[in-house]
Amino acid sequence: MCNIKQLPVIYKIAACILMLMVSSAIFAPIIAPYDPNQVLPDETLQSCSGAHLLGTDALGRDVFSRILYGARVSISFAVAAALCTMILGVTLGMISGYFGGIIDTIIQLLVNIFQGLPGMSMMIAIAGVMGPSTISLLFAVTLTSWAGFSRIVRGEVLKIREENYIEGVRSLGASDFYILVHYILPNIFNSLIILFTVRIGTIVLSIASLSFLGLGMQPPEADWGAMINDAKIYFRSYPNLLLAPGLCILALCASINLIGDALRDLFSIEQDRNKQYL
Amino acid sequence: MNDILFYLVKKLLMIIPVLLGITIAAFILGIISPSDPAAVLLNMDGVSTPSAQEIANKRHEMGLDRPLIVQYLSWLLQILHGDLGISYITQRPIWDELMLRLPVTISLASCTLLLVIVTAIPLGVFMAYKNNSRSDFVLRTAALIFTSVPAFWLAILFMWIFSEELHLLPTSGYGTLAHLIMPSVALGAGTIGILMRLQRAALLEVLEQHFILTAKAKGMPFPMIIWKHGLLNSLIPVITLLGNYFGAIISGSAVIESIFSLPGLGSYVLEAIRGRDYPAIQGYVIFTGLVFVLFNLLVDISYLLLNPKIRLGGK
Amino acid sequence: MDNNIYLQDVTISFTTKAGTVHAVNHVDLNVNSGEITGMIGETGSGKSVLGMSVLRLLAANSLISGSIIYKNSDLLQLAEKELNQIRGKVISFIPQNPDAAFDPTMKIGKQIIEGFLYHDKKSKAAGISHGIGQLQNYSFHEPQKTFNSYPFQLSGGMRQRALCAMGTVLSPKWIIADEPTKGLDAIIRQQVSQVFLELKKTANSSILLITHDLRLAQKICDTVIVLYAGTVLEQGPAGKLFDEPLHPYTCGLIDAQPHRKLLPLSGMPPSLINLPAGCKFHLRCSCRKDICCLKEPALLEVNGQWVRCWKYA
Repeated sequence: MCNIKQLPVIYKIAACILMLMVSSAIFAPIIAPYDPNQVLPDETLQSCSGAHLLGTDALGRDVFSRILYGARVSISFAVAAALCTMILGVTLGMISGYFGGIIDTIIQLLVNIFQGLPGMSMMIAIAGVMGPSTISLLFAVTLTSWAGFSRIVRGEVLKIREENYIEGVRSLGASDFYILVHYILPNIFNSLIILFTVRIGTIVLSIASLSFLGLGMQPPEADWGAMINDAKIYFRSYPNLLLAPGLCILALCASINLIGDALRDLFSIEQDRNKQYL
Repeated sequence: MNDILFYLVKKLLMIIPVLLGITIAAFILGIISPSDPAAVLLNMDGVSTPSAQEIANKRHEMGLDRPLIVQYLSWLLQILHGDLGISYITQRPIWDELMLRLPVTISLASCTLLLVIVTAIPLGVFMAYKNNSRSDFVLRTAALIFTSVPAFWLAILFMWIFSEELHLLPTSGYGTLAHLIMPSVALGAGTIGILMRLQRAALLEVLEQHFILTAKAKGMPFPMIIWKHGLLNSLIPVITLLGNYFGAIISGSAVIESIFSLPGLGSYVLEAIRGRDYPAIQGYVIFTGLVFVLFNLLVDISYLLLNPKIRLGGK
Repeated sequence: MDNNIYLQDVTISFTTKAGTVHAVNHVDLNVNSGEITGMIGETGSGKSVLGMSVLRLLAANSLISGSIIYKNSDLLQLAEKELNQIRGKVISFIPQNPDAAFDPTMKIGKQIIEGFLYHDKKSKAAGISHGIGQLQNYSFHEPQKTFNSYPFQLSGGMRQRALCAMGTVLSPKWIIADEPTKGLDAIIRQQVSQVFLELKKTANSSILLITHDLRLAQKICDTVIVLYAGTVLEQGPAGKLFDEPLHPYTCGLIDAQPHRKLLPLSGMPPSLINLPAGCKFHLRCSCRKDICCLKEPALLEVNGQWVRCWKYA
């Protein structure tokens, strides 16, 4: 394991951006100068100024405040969805890899089926059929992305299961559940953290797309994807409406991807050495 | 020869459960949808507020009171005959509507895929060749940005710059290749970023292999070694993942089609969602799933061409 | 002008995460042409690294100093382009591990004649017939079929012979063979050693044979060099060196063989990151004196053999 201090500067920058975004999401109610949904009919479509740092949108809502609350929505939802995905994927992957046999065959069949479905299409269809709500979004995201997790977890479990010490622990009378939780889970923990981190980035992008299509977060909830959709008509005259949320998504995803790389470095995962971005 | 046949049959058999899974997923979508097909059909027939008895009769007529498994099987049989039901909105067969729109999505997806392959693979090779140089760093930064940028935002930026400011490309519509340029780039950007990185990593991994040393010992220049021994070997892992990325392209096309007003499967499903046309959404799932599965089969076949070990039945 | 290869004060190190690995330390050697020179030592003694450094085939994290002179030019200073004219054509390298040394996606024949076509600018047809002839020389029964096979279709022994065929396709003056008999059974080992003897006789090639197979070295080598922790401990004519080894390490190596005393050397090779002071072998040496731990002995001539040991100083 290499030292945090030795990591390249770029990772530290990414960490700073991420921390800035997360803290502004957490403290949005304190930082935001306006209520994100407060409509100011006299101040519609203002450009950047002291009163409105990033201007206002067509309804006169303060863009900066909406960006802050958008971070809150995006990050909290992405983390929640990634958690659900991870829990489902890890549980099924561990069961499948550890017990093998018919259970493994069934779960692997499910994995193959879910990986054979184009994820975003399914998300659109599920969100479309169930109607847009946080629950249906969570359901759509979890259902379409657990398979990748479980596949990787299963592979790791298969590797660890053959180790001698697992045999030893079992002969001492440890139950399967105990072994899974106390021996297998800690072993795959590092890989999981990385997968989890990178997954948050992917989910932020998917959710933004769904919101852009009107299938994600519902108005008047401030969401970056929805803000871009609102900006579609005005962007020529008011580029701030388009650029601010877009750049925020870009910065958030890029820094999450970089943090994923930094974690690979920290955990010394050799096979991914060449895959790092920077 | 037998080995090839065996491989192909195995791959064909393996897609059967996936195809069944797709239909099951689509069927379940139909079940969880909040509307009652019987009520909708009665509405179509002009009964605006059907009584409970009328609905029950209609349900019985449509077979909706049978066990789910029977319903699924008869529905599956219909699909196999190319019958996906009637659209609630247009009242036309959904199969025909989807077939009408399929070429648009296919052409957008193939255009994007072609773009991805011809840009990402050479760039990835170049990055590996110039490993850790300044140009490698610049391209890796570009790859990071491509993977992190939302496609729909990029699409709007392109429209702004290339259509509205520079008047180079048409904003929307379908017909010529020029109409597909911006959509393809916007749709492919994310995949280009991922694939660049992947190709670079795959080639770097190959370059550490023993046989590259053998080739060096023969006195051949490095670019020639990459061309003759590095490229093909690094393409094998990259091609395997190409199937996955095609899924991202096919499903991402919904957003891009809606922005550029391309009359493909994606804009169709968005209309269907707006109109609560659930059978059409089911049809969309089946169609995109089918395209994805068939493409993956194609990838498996191309894999056969690339990898002699599989072609000739090695261990 | 002779065809000998002169290594002068060659030092090779690798930069790794764990620290700097000193693989080869101040090696001065004359490798005579017209002979088979064996380089023996345990795993990690630096013999492969030294062999590869002659053609600068080491990984990018390596650092080489000193000079390797061949025909009045320093191979370590040559431009890549000039070096490529020597690689394969004048000095060829037969890598170890035939399982990994072939490109798995290219037919054996194509790989064998690749260097031939590149250097000699011959037609493809000429290349193919030359390649098939080459395979015939290495006692392949169906050279045509082997030529059109992929590496995974051959057995390990066949791959090893094909590797030798590839290394000698341009009839090079020098052949550096890295562990050519590793993992082969007795019959194939016999065949391979025959091949080297024949190369020396008929093609008049000089061979640097890197091996840990002492019996092979004893059988076919003219001169033997004993390497330990990247340092030459002993060098001399093969017959003499095996009959009357001078250095305690050489004695140990010889006694460790199954047909001798099967007496394994005690201890482990030293860490190449923190090399021991004094004689590199002193930690495992049974004749250790105080001075051995402090000062490294020089390579001295004793009865026509060269040895680096305080016993003879």
